[in-house]
Amino acid sequence: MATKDKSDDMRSFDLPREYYHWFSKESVWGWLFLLPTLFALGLVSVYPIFRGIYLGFTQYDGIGDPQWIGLENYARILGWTEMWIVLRNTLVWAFAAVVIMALVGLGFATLLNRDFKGRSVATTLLLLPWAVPFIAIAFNWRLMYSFELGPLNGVLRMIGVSDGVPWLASSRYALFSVALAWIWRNFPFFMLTFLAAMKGIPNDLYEAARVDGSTKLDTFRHITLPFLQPIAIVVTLLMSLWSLNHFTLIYVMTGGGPGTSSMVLPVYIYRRAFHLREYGLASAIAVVMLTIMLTYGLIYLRLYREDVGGQ
Amino acid sequence: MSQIDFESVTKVYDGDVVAVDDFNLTIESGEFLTLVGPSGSGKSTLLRMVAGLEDVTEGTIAIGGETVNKLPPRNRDIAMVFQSYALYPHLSVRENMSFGLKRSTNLSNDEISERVEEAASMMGISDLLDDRPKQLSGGQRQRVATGRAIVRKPAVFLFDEPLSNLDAKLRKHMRTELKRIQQELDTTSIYVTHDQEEAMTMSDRIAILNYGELQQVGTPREVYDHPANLFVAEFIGSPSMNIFDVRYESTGDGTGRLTGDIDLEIGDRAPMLEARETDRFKIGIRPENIHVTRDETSAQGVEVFIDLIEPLGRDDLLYFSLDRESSEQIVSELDVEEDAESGDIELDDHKAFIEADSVDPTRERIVLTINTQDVHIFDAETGENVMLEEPKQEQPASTT
Repeated sequence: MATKDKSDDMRSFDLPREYYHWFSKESVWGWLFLLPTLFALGLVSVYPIFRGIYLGFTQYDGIGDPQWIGLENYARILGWTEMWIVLRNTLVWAFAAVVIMALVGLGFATLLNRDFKGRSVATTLLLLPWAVPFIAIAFNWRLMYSFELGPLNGVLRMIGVSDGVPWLASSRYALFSVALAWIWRNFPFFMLTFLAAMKGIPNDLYEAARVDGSTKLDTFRHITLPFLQPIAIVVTLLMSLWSLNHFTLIYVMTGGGPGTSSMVLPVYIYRRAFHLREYGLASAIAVVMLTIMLTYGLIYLRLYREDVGGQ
Repeated sequence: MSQIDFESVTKVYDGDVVAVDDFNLTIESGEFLTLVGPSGSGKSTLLRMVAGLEDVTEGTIAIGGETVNKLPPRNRDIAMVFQSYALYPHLSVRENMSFGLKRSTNLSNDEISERVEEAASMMGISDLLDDRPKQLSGGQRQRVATGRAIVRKPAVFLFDEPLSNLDAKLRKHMRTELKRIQQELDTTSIYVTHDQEEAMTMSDRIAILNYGELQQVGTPREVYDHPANLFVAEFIGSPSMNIFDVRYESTGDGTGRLTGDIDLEIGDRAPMLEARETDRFKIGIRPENIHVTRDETSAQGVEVFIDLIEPLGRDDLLYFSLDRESSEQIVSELDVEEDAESGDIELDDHKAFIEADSVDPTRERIVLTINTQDVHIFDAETGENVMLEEPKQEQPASTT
């Protein structure tokens, strides 16, 4: 394969110098070892992406050959009210819920950062939701929300506030209810990262601020929060992307219903593809979703690049 | 104004660790007082109690006549410079310096920026105002930290080892600068350090602590010339005082002599030794009070073994031992035992300043003389300086 001379030739392609060694003699073995993994990744990841992009331009019901129809799928999607409802739900699910998660996590992290008896027990208990599998969470919360048997409605009836709320069965509450379960599952992630970051803030800074005339609230606002900002940016980005991708909880708890009231993109794509066998249309929606995620990630990181890498 | 009074101040951690024990002291308004002592002596704890960062277990601390035990730090009108500087990393130098003013005063933005610029020019950091702390060198950070304190114009400055993260040269420079600023502002200051040299050069008075107990308080000259006890004697002065074990032999007629590591006639000081219950003493002699004599048969002469002669420029520092055995041991350990921070060789041997190049370093032995008047005599049991006119009752002597 490549020789030293050849690697010199690469200069005419303007390859940055730090990549020269990729094509050196010593790298041959490296490439050989990588090959199986690269092949497997290509098969399960790269190929499906390109296949999906291709299918987005076709009409395909899974039988026979895909029919090329150009941008027709995209035109259909954008003109659809249903699609806008799903997009709105997805935004609530992946952004509003994440903001609330972060706030709840921050609250608990602040409490756990104080000294009190039983702190490690409290920390462990609060971490538990993060360790439970999605499917178990989905079934348990469905039980909690059950109109007849659920403890939530039980409490409401007991204190006489109402005769029971159809948490999952009403289009008004469905998305909110599932999002609550999602928040419950994920706030420990924020709690733990924030707590770790808080432990890293030098105590001297708090003392200096106190001598400088700060109250507790002042030090939280002017010392704690600025220190948490870089890590907060990274974890909210991660959590938004994970939320955008998430399927299990909504699919199991409401299936996106009633109607489309709690429908989010991944579930919607799944239904279009495997219930209605509109593979072409589903692929086009998936491409839209991919674009949203990429654009969001890029803009977000660009906005806060200095805070993430700079500090 | 802003006199600080400590009255029977005691600090106990976790129920049984006594960090400060019955500390009594008055710091005059405008005075620069240094708390000095080895680590664990309670000096930082005292400072933090003044700042309000630690609770006082017993006793009272008053600033300007007002007891501050229960006041939060922000209501004490103090400013503190930390060893780590504790600059807010996400704020610019300007914002760091105005942080406290915004919180503790009602000044307008214009007045604040005026004050900040005034303090910055005093500290020579006017052109750094828009930088972030991480862009600054250690020395510049120190200046910003000090600037952040002086801009507040507080009643009291508290310094917690502010110079110990700087290199030796910069430390010396900042020492004079801090002192100059303190004099200019005439603000009561408490300065904590473990460096006795810093304490000697900067302070109006020094308070020496050990194991949470006040050993002695006095001007640098007083504690140097009249150390209250063995601990102070060894702690103050560099290189530290030479200590020898001796016994007092009374001749029966009210006078006597000291024998032991070295033998000394003590003449008119005998009555003070006679009055003691013990006959075991330690004598302390500063390195500058030991001299080389040409008259090798002198009655007051002490023959010693030369370990090493270190040229210091103006003088030479002579390391010596009283017998051949320890001399050989010391010479073999000299390579490894160098104190990394000060560069001083810390060994259990004795030192004397001698005239440069006055002794041939290849010689094995030499005769030294000691002027009896320059000798400090301490009770071997209590460590008390028996030469002080009257043993100071209110200051417990070190038992170490």
